[in-house]
Amino acid sequence: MTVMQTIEQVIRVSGDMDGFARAAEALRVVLDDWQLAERPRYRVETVFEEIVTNVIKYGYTDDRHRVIEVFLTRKADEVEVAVEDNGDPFDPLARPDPERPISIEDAPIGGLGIMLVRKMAGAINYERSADRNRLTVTIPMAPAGG
Amino acid sequence: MQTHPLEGNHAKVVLRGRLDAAGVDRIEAKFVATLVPHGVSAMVDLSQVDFVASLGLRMLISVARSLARKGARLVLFAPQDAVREVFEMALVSELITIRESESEALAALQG
Repeated sequence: MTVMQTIEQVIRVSGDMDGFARAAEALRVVLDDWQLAERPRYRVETVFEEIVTNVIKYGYTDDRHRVIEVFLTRKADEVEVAVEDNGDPFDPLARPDPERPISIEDAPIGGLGIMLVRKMAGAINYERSADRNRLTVTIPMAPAGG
Repeated sequence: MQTHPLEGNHAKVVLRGRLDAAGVDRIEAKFVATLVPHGVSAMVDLSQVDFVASLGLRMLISVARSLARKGARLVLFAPQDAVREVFEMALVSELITIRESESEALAALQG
């Protein structure tokens, strides 16, 4: 086969941390199957963990039934990770990264997850439609440098 | 997680596996309790840690800060390349001492 086909997978996450652990296992099975190189694989796992755990911990302020879905798309030169949830409207990109700390005493412990996502992403986009948040992150297969 | 007492109020801690949400949940209480109450300066072997997410960074930053307040140190050593990259992206490598080898880490701990 000379043309790399686009391959899609969907992982549904029940809205608690036990569900997250099972979903993370499911992600690893998909990534094993896709045989990604180490660096893009690490980045996909990081994006998945940071965004999904954020939605589970902070995305819901009531007890509505949680629907969290992760759409993974493998293309020839990138992997797209799209996290959709029916939580409260929240654009994680609206918040600036924490400032560069000058000492361990000033080091931020909040905001590190989305900072990693921003730095690992080739592109990142937030949309709100039909009462769902959708955050789409693309990870290049062969990222140049950091 | 394995802890090896060293001379003085020092220790070597060997972490293994993933410092993700599940991994941090498993070891954080023990990691903190081993080092922080008595201000034990520690060198942490990361060579067998193959994944660090923000929760892992938070654990290391908060322990390093608690130790610094007690005049003790946290030194990390031998991170895998992908893990080192995460420390650099999160600017942690500017705040916590990271060394390539155990002997360099020991020197940093005692220096």
